Order: sequence, then structure tokens, then C-alpha cells
Amino acid sequence: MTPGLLGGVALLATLVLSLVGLVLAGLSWWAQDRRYLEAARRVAPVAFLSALVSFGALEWALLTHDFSVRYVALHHSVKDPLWVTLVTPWAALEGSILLWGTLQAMYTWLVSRRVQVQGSATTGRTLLLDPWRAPVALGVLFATQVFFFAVMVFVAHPFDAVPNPPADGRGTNPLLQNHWMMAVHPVLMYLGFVGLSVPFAYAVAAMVARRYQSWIFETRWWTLVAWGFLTAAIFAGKWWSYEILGWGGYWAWDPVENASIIPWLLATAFLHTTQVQERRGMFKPWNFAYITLAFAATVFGTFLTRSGVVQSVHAFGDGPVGSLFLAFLLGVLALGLGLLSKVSGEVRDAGEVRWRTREGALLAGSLLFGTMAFVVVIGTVWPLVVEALSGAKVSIGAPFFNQVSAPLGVAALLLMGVGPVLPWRNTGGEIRRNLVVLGVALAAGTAAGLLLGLTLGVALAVGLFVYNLAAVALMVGQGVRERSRALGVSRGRAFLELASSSRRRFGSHVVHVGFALAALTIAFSQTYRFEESKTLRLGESWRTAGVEMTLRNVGVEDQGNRQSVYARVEVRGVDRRGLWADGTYTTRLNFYPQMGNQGLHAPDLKYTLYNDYYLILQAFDTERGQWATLRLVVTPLVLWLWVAGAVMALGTLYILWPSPAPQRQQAPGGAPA
Amino acid sequence: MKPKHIIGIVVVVGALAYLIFGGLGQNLVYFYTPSECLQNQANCQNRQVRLGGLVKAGTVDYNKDTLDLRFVVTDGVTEFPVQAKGTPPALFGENRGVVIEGKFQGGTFVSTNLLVKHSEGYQAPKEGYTPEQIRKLIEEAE
Amino acid sequence: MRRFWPLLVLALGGLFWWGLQRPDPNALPSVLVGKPAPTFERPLLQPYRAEWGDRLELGEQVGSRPILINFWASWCLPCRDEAPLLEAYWRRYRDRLLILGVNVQDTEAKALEFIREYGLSFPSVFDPKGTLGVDYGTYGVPETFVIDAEGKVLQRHAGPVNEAVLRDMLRKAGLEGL
Repeated sequence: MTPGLLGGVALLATLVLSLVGLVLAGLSWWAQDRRYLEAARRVAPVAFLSALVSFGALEWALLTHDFSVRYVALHHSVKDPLWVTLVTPWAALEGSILLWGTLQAMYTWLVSRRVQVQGSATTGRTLLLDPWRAPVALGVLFATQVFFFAVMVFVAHPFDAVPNPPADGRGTNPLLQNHWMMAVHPVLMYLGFVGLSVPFAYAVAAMVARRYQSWIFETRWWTLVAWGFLTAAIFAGKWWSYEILGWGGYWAWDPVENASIIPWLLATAFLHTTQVQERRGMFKPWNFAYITLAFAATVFGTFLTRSGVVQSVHAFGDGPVGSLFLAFLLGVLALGLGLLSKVSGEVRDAGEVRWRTREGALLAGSLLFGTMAFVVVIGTVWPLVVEALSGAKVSIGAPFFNQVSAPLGVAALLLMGVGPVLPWRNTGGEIRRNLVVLGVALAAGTAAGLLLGLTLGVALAVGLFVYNLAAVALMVGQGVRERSRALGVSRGRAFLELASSSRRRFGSHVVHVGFALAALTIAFSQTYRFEESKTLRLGESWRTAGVEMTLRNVGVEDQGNRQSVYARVEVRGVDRRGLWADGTYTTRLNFYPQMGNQGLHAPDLKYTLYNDYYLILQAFDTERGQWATLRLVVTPLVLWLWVAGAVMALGTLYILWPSPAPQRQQAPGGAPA
Repeated sequence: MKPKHIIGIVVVVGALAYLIFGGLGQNLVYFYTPSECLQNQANCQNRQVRLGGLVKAGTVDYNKDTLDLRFVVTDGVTEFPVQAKGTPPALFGENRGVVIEGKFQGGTFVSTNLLVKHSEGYQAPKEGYTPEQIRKLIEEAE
Repeated sequence: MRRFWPLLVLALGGLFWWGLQRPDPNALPSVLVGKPAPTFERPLLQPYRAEWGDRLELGEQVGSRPILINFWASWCLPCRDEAPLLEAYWRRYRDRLLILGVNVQDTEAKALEFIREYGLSFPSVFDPKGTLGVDYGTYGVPETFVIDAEGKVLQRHAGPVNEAVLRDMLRKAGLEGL
């Protein structure tokens, strides 16, 4: 038994099992026979196991350096360190699809555990999937699984053989080897992508079975999990881009980046409108549309990055999977939107939305996020549209995205503060005081920013941050006061009790604060970025941006799988801008054998509470090691962007954390989430 | 729906459309070859464009102290002098493809962004200096 | 909206479908397209000397039929993908076109092993220093150029060719009905 054989067999078995599951689910829906449903339910864990075996086989092939497997020959080398070898399955197309498919099989299995085959009432502990919807939901998930495994078996086979195996392979893409974050980012991304398939499957089932309400509760957990992973993945990607790509930025609106943000934006929109349906039974069509688009966007992203249909600086091979992903994307859109237009007469909203209410703000917020997603899609595909219509080759620069997303972002931040303060249904006079407080916070923050000499945009970002903090403080403060008065407990105790009893509310406050913080740091870091390059000789000093840099040494280290050229630079802060910059920086250019003379930057950077000092080795004296060209990038507050990402992820985790107390009664002051 | 609402929606959608499609129009950067620029000067002058071609052999002049990079981009028929600032990317070299984003100033193309076209997927591992060579060079100097 | 979404989805699908069909957007048009192909003279690899002589001059081959020049190396995995395809085309159409391999930046022993492995019968010249790659402005290997009967370069393709690309190239060279 070789890893290639085992993997190939397991892959085929998974495809067959998924097909069997799909057929059984279809039969049980067709014949309304629960025995088929029971069988389909039992196929899911077997398919998952089989997928796991094929994934394990790929790891096995990598760990044993089995270069007769093409994937291993192309993306692995005996010189790769162990951790790189372990993450190599998702370093290229075939392995990524295998990871994606395996995660999909896992989620299908998890959903299958919720399927209720007996027609009795729900047991109360968990929300079960009733036998009317279960065949459809399972069918959609199995179909997705069939898609991934069919792509692998027929087009992008991870266990393709090399007839005459080389003694060593080319090694993992050095860009990925250069930072451990790349080991994590794709997994988070796929967990998020796959997570959205579950609410989508439930939504389709809801439309088929014409039970339009309950799926929202049942998939709340899934949606949040998916959203949390997507958020974490995006921040991980930004971090990687900042620390590795060596240009001192974290976001460039490249199609690959856009592909990751579109599902996030749509999932965010979906998350907000579900609140209204859960609470008031409204916005049903919006929810069906948003989840369809969000799930389609996960496929769209892969299509964009893997088909070579739009230009990207990230060098992905344009594999043969493009047209298949396109077909799947269109299939998802046709299924979701087709069903929606069929049932749209029935799911029309009963009441009318008043704008100055919680539901109005939630709808407006979701529309903003939907619009942002639309903008990103348009900006990404516009070059293609222009080329199709006029034949001219064009590109869309980052300024477009910045120009359009800035006002939308400001609007979203405004809504984020005021929305949760507004009551449901109807706005009375009692919240006027709160609105005044918020307005004052916004104005005071902006004015303070302007007085400090910030640009108008950044001052506004400061104002919006203060305003959002004020909104959260207002809501928490009110709840705590009411509770401590009603139950006669101390305010501290009331706060802790509230925080643990209404997790959803508190978690969402935390996420909102994280979002506001992220916006603030983006405004600062985009506006006050400084960069300059200079060639220094050994011992020479360079004074700029409040720091003095002295080049001490240029040398090279052999690190096994790469040669690392380094420049050692002594940095000293000379004025306020260079505060905390002091230190010895070792900035590197790493040369990997498979990349020839193209070095990869490994910048040295020092995060501080305010500025980041980011030093890049641009070029060096290859003959005598006497000089080096350095680039200094000084950016404020980037550290806080990572903090914001962590806050958002932790806030999500807080909501998801299983509640210790089974009873979920409304305590005084704890407004229903 | 009240007329007030309809007006509001129209205003919002109009503003968005202006923002999006106006922005698209302003931020389109066209891609031309030097010959296309010569034939149709109006397209290339006074606006940001991307110029694609080869780096003409024997024209590269890089001053590492001022970081000025000058070379000639050619498509075999037409050529333009290019002025850029900064260290040339690793894959930059004579007879290699480049895409330069920038503007014409007189007869010279002033670059704001220099992209070297490459695909990491099918690159020869032996071109240029090898890591071992770099290592030797630097060690000899020490 | 209820009526129009299928149109929107179809339009989007059509756009992307078109995007997939068009030639690689990342490819720079070769400066050589429409110009005479740089001529060269290089030693042939050993298996082809009996039929083609010790050295091959491109200029002598131009005239009667289109020529497909394929740059390859034994260390290049995508070359392994396209080798059987090129060989199949050569066997089928060798009376109507010439497929000429240029082995670059390789050792002779490894190149010969590669040829044996795939049973390549179309001639390949040996260019260990890769100087032809400079003349032709290649990015790397594999890369394929098609030259018409007048010796003009019609098209270049960077990266491995598949059947569709190959057919397209040959159609440009006036070979119909393949």
C-alpha cells in the first residue's frame, strides 16, 4: 500500500459515498420514506471518515517524501522543515480542495447528527432537523461534497502519479514557508467558507418545505461560527501580508484579498437581518437572498483566484478548475434565488419597517454591507467587463475601493453606534437623551482630533470611535443600573451577572468595539504612513522620520532550506516620532533554491503602542557586502489592528461559548438579545 | 410607500451609483504597448497608464545611491525611455517583460510602480546567481 | 427583481465564461509576434542526429511548413505534462508541421533520460546555457512559439500547452481540420 494508492482509493470512496448520500436523501424526499433518510444520515460519518483517510494519506505521502505523488513532487522537498511539511496539503490547489472537501464532509456529518428520524416532538435539548426538511438540507450538503470530490477525482487529483519520480521535489511555495501565519490562514478561511454551507442548506430546505422561520434559530450557531472564522482568517491574511510581502501594507484590494472579504461582508449582512427575523419574523426574503449570496461568494472567491480570469499579483496557477467552479457558482445562485422567487409571494413581510427603530437600523446596516460587497465585486470584475465590451486591457486601482468604501464605512460606523440603542418596533421620546449623548460624543471626538492636528478624515474616525464606545457604555450602563436597582445588588455584581446571562448582547458589544477599533487603526495607518529608501554603506547613518539608522553588518546564513542574507541595523530614536524605536534590527532577504535569484523579504519590524518601525532589505552588495539598500516604513497603530481582530474573534467566541446555566430567563435589565 | 420614502431611496441610490460608477471611470488604468501609445498619443498623455514591454538590452542604468533607475522599454518597434525610483525588483533585467505604471512627462515615461511579469510556477531554477554564489561572494568579502 | 435575477446570473455567467475562454490575461504579447523568428544553429541531441544531422539550423527548416518551437528542461514538471501531447501531435501531423524542442539549462544525461522516458521522436536541440531563451525572451520553461512558413512568429505561449492551446496555435498557422 502506498500513500498515493490509499489516497486515491479513499478519494474515490468519498465521492461514491457522497453520491450515495445524495441519492438516499433525494429518495427519502421523493418517496417520503424515513428509512432512506436514516440511511443517508448513516452515510455521512462514513464519508467523513473516508475523506479523513484521503487527507491523512496526503500527509503520509508528504511525511515520507513520496515523490511519486505529483503533488508531493511539486510542492515538497526533503529539506522542508516539519511544520512546513505538515501544512503543505493546503499550499496548493489540489490539497486545498482536499482540505475544503474534508471539512465539508465533517460539517455534513455534524449536521447529520441533528437529523431527527422519528416523528416525535423535539427532545428540547437541541434543535433538531425535522424529517420534512432534513432530506433537502442533507441533500444540499452531500451535493456540495460531491462537487468537491468530483473536482478532485476528475480534474485536480491530489494523488496523481509521476511515472518517473524525481529524487527531490521543488519544495513548498516559499511565500508560504516564510511565515507561520500561512499555516493557519487557509484553514480558518475554509472553516468559514464551509460553515456558510450549513445555513445555506437549511435555507434551501426551509424554502422547499415552506417552513420559513425556524431555520434562523437552528443555524444561528453555524452562522456565527462561520463568521468568526472568516473574521479571524481575514485578519490572519492581513497580518501575513504585512509581515511577509515586504511592502509595509496589509491590504491592497487585490482580487485574492477581495475574494476573501466578499463572503465576509455578505455574511455580516446576513447576521444582522437574521436578528430581525428571529425577533419579529420580518426580512425573510432578505435572509434567503443574503445566505445564498454569501455561500455563492465563497465559491466565487475560489473561482476568481484559481481561474486566472482576473489579474492578480499573487501568482496562482490558472488551473483547469475554473469552469467547474463557475458552474457550481451558477448552480448555487440558481438554486437559492430560483427557490426564493418561487416562494417570494408567501414570504413577503407582514409589517412595515420604520427606519428609526432597531430593525430599521439592522436593515440599513445589512444593506450597507451588501452594498460594500457589491462594490468589491464590481471593482474586481470591472476590468473584465471593460475588456469584454471594448477590448481594452485595464486595471482598477486601489483608490477606487478606498474612495467608495470610506463613506460606506463611515455610514456603517454611525449605524453601529445608534442601532443597538434604538428600541424595537417604535421609537419613543425616552431615547432622545441617549441620542444627544451620542451626538455629543461624536462631535467631541472629532473636534478633539482636529485640535490635535489630525486630518479631517482621521479626526472623524476618532469621533466615530468615541461615539461607538459611548454607545456601548450607555447600553451596558443602563442595564447594570436597572439590574442593581431591581435586585439590590452591587453594580459590579450586576455587570458580571448581565455579562454572563446575556452573552449574545455582550459579545456583540465586544465585536462592535473591535470593529470600531479596526476602523480607527485603518484610518490612522492609511493616512500617516511614511516610507523612504536609501542605500547605506557599512557604518553609515541615516536620519529620517525621527530615527537614526546605522548599518552595522551585511552577511549571509545557511538555514538548510534557504540562504538568508541579512542586514543588521542599529536604530535609535532621535525625537518624538522615533519614540520606542530603539533596537538592533535584522532585516532579511531569503533565497530559496526553487526561486532562483528572486529573494523573499523577511522584514524586521518593531510594533510599539503607537508607531511601527518596519525595515526592509531591498538590495545588497553581492560582491563585497559593503552596502545595503534599506527601506523604512513607519505606520501608526498597526499593532492595534491585530488587537481589533483578536477582540472581534474573542467577542464571537464569547457569544458561542456554551452557557453553563440551562435556563435562559429574562432577568431585569437584560434586554432580550 | 410614501413619496417621501421614494425620494429618499432615489437620492441614496443615485448617490451610490455616482460614487461607484464615477469612481470606476476615474480609476481605470489602461494597459498599452509602446506602439499603441505612439499611434494614439491622446490615450497615453496626461493620464495614468500601464505600459507593457521588454527592457531593452544595454539601456539599464541604476544608481544605487540616488535610487534612480533608467531604462528603455520596447516592444520591438517603438521604444520609450523610462524613469523610475527605487530598487529594481529581483526579476527585473534586460530582455525581460515589465509592466510600468505611471505617466508620460514629455517623451519620458515616469513610473510610479514597476511590475515584473512572472509566474513562479515555471521558472528555471538556475538563472542568475544562485544562493551559493551569493554566499560565496559575501564570505569572500568578509 | 423577481423577473430579472435569472438574466443577471446569466450575464455574470456569460462574462466569466468569456473570461475563461480568452487567452491568458497575464501573458505579455511577445515582442516577437509578427516578426521573423530569431534564427539559430545548435547541436541536436544524440537520438536525432541520424535523421537530422549533427546540428540544426532554424533558417533551413523554414519555408515548407509551420514550426512549433518548444522550450523544455528535464527538471520542469509541467514539461512532463505536455511532452506526451507534443509527441502525439508530432506522430500524427509530422508531414504538415515541424515540432522542434529546445532543451535549455539542462545536463545532456538528464535530457536524454527524459527523451527516453516519453519516447520523444521530434528533434530537440541542446542549449545548456539557455542563450536561446534570451533571444526569444522567455520567462521560463515550458514555453512554446509557433512560426509560420515564412519564418514569422505567430504566437507565443508561456507555460504548458494543453490540447486546446495547441490546436489554436496550429490553426493560426493555417493548419485546419486537425
